[in-house]
This record gives sequence, C-alpha cells and structure tokens, in this order.
Amino acid sequence: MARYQAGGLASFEAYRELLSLIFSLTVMRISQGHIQRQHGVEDERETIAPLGWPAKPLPLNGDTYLRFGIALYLGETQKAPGKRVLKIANESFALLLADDEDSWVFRYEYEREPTGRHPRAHFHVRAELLKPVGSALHKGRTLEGVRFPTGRVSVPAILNLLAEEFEIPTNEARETWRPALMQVESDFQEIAHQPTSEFP
Amino acid sequence: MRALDTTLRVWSRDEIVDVLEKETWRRLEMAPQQMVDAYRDGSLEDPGDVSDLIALAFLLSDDDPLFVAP
Repeated sequence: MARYQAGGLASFEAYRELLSLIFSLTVMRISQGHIQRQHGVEDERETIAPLGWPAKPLPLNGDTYLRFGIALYLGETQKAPGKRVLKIANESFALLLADDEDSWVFRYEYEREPTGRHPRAHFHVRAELLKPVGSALHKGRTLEGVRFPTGRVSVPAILNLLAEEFEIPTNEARETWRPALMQVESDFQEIAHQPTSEFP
Repeated sequence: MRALDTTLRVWSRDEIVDVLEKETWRRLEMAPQQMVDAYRDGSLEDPGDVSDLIALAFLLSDDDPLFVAP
C-alpha cells in the first residue's frame, strides 16, 4: 500500500511527496517548479497545486507549463470502516504553451459529485473542425467547449501523455521514470473512484 | 526573514476571500457566492475554466459566511 493510502492527516504530505517525485523524474522544470500543499481553514481539506497557485502554473521542460489543482479531503471508506482516507473532490490539468491561462492545449477535469449535465471526468481539446458537425457547433459553440467523456485519468497517465505524446523532455531516462509511473498508476487504479456519466 | 516554504502554504480565510473576490469578478463578472452557488447547482457554464477558484473556495468551511445567504 502506498503511504498516502494509509489515511489520516499525514496522507496529504505523503501524496504531495509522491507527486513531487514523479513530476521531478519526468517533465517538471526542476530549477523552478515545486509541488505545494495549499492548506486553508479546514484541517481535513487541502489542495495540491504548484508553488504560486492559483496565479502561476507549474513550469515544465521545453518552455511549457501545466496548470493543475487537486482538491483533497479525508473521508470515510467502505473498505476500512472508521478510517478516514484521502479522497479527491475535484481535479484539473491543462497543458499551457506559455505562462498564460488562455494558452491551453488540452484540459482534463474531474468532479467527484455531479455538477449539472456534464460528464464528471472529461477532456477538452483546443482544435478547429474542418467542417461543421451538428447544430450546437453552428450556434457559436467551439470544439474546445465540447466535453469528451472519459474514465478517471491518473496523474501518471497525464505525465506519460506529456512525455510520450507531446515529447516534453524528461529529467530522467525513460527506463527510470516509466516503472515509477507504472507503480503509482497501479496503486491509484486499485482505489480510484470511477464516475458514471450523468444523463439528467 | 522567513524562508519560503515550498512544500506547504497556509492560507488564512481573509487571503482566500481576497483572491476569490478579485478573480471571480475579473473572470466571471460575478461574486464568489454566485460562482459557488452556480457550481453547486450545476448551472455554472464552464466549471473547468475556473477550477482553480473552485479548489480555492474548497479550502473554506461549508458554513463560511461567504457562502451562507444573509
């Protein structure tokens, strides 16, 4: 079991350390990037985000950036009654071409609880259609506004996407970071909440 | 001078409210209370576009005066 799965307040720092490790092995611009816990007025709630959040995204190698935030809380679990374990309330990731919130390329967003009629886990892709499809996109709505539904996507999967598909340079060799991502992915998928799409 | 803690930032309520007030008006032209209400009832047009503000508001208590109608 990963340390962040042990439950209790120490889970917040254990999860931050884990994310810091896999970001450092892969695409984070180490000289400038830091993964930081954001603690507010509630002991059992924190958000993990880059240093400088929410104004600043995380610097990545290759002069790119990642805007992200993971809102966490301690909650009950059926697997271990009486124990309060780390849960994700919502999370979002966006690859940015510059230190500018409007320069995003793709976005992944997840909400544990339903919020309206949108799929709780979805991608946005900034792109243009070659020709119109459907009536919604004739009404001024752009393709980037379309929410493509998906299952849960883990942080390792996002990092793998950035390294393998976008070819953002990594800090360590593939032989080093890939097994680490696979282990974290495996631990995550054992406990990950899988949302269903809403069709109200 | 206190060293910058790169692992933990502790926000006071006033700091959270200050950022929410500035950013929700700038980006959504609405008050933080309206944003959170719209988020909770599912009427916020693009929650993902302000996911950072939603995550910041999450650091407050549910019964924070900011979210409780007078």
